Amino acid sequence: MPFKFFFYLIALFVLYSAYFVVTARNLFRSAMGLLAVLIGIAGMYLLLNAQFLSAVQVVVYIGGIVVLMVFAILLIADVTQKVFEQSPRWRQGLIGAASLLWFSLLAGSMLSYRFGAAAAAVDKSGSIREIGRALLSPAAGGYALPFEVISLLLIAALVGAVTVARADADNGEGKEGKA
Amino acid sequence: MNTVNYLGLLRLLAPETVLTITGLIVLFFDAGVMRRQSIPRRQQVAAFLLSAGAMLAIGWSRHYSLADPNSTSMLVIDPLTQLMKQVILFLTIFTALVSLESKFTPHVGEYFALLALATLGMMFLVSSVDLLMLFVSLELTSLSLYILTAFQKDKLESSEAALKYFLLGGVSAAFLLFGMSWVYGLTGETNLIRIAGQLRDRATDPVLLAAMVMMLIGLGFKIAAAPFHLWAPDVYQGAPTPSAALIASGSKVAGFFVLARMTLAGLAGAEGSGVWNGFAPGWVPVLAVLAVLSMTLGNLAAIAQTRVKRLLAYSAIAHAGYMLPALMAHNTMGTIALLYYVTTYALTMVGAFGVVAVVEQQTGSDAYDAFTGLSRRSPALAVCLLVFLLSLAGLPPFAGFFAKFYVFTAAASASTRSLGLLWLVILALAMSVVSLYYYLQLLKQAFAVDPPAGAKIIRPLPATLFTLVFLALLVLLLGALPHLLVNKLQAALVVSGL
Repeated sequence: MPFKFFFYLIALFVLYSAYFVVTARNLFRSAMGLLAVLIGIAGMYLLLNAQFLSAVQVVVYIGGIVVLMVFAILLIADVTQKVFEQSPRWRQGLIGAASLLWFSLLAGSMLSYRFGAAAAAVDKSGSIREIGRALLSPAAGGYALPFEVISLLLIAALVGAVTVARADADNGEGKEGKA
Repeated sequence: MNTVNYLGLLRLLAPETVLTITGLIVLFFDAGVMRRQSIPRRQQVAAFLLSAGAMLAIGWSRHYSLADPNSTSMLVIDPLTQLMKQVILFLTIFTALVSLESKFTPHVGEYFALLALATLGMMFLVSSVDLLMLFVSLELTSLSLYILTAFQKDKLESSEAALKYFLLGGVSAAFLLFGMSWVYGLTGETNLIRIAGQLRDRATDPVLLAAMVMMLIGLGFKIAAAPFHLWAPDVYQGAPTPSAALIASGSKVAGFFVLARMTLAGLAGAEGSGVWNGFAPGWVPVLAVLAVLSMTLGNLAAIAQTRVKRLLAYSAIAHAGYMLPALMAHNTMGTIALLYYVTTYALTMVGAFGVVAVVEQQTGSDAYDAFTGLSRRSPALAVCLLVFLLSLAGLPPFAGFFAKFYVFTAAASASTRSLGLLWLVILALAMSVVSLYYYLQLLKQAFAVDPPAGAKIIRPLPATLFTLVFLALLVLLLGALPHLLVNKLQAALVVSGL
């Protein structure tokens, strides 16, 4: 019973925060809303007995990504004061109707399905040791390969970020490089 | 299980490993050794290194051992995947050679390294049979392509296109991932083959259908099928032309292959039916909707275009629509037709974008006017353009004719029920006639209209011209002797059993 209570409590919290993220008309407030969403999700993981995931969620998303976003927002001058224009009424209505339709389709199909008991899932302890082994094992059931592909993805992102963000020499920002 | 180690994994993935190392070498060599050289020189060296690496990878991909199916549940290595990887590697080489012509960036090493990384993503995509692996390699491909789109930093269009591509791509990836999570929730499996085994007896479950639709939205974005095509015209238009060539060719091959893998292997048993008057829920009717919309919208919108890259974008949407019926046919012949179509189409598209790249570099525009009197200003280029466009239009004796022929016969004879998918074939034929109009419009501009007074002669680089002529000959050869490729595909398909 307390599980259900906390589940719905957190779910409500997350939903409200998410609503706040998309409706806030100030970028900084949106970022703060996102922070609340992510904290709520971390709580949800905890409730589902995924302690490691919950900790990672706090460290990476809340400690890293949201802070990064706040930095970016603050670096762009004036954005904290700026209030964004809202799209016209008819458009909001249309988007709302489409979302509602999509949601009811998904919810309808979800409700019609008879899910088995959660016990069907393999019970793994989810300890850090086990996760580490699974992540780096090249054998069947291990995730070494996707892990490596993600490292390639990070290289691509890094190279791309530097290339896109770097001021080119011909933009009058000085000669490129010092080498 | 103890026999599998990292070395075994590397050996299994030798072509990918070679290409990874090549990408890094290109990056470091350009940043370190070539720094003081002129940009064309750096481009030549980088393109040479990348092509050499890709050739090495192609050579290596011919010597593989069939992976023990138990050794890794993430990937399959079989003749078919290796063949498709070779196709993708060749497309990358052609893209690299076409890139020599364009001067859009001082960041040469980064550009060619990202070409390598995008190709790598496509190669993993072709091999993956696991939802996790599939998603990660899809993201590797997409992210590299977003960046390649943004590479022309002095042009606002390029950044705008990249941003649109990135945002829409992110949304479509979210749909794909959400759908995958539902499938995982239903089956508890991420391996496509095992998922198919689990789903066999509950094909029309509403939850499965919803998950399937979401996954098809994600992949439909990747192949630029309407109504998920909104990014394509802007990206093809705004991206540097060689980047657009890769997006239109290699990424298309990988996208269609993974779509085929997902539907034919992962969702086997949930196909439903798309025959006239006999619809049944499943992925076939979903694809039928995409096909009808893509064919109609792509072709009709292409008529109104005045810029060649945009025209190619809309025709790409239309071609995605022609290819989908091959998948819906759901038999070996259909799969062969699909792979033949997408391969020849990709070769043609690289060629067409190559011609546009040359014209754009030398006249500064890709509007129809820039092509006026091309036959007088550069006969060789004009003839190449003729070959590519007529092949896209599906006229014999070019490869595009047999591609359409195979797809349409496969679709028409797919069902034993009265008329089967014939209604789609009829629509496709009608739309092919429409497409002829806009291809010929452009060719008329290039051949029948006199060049404006004072128009310069267009001189492509020897390497580019050689590439384009080679591609044109290839399109002609595959059109004249289609069995060269079809037999290979057939043999590979029999072994792999997709």
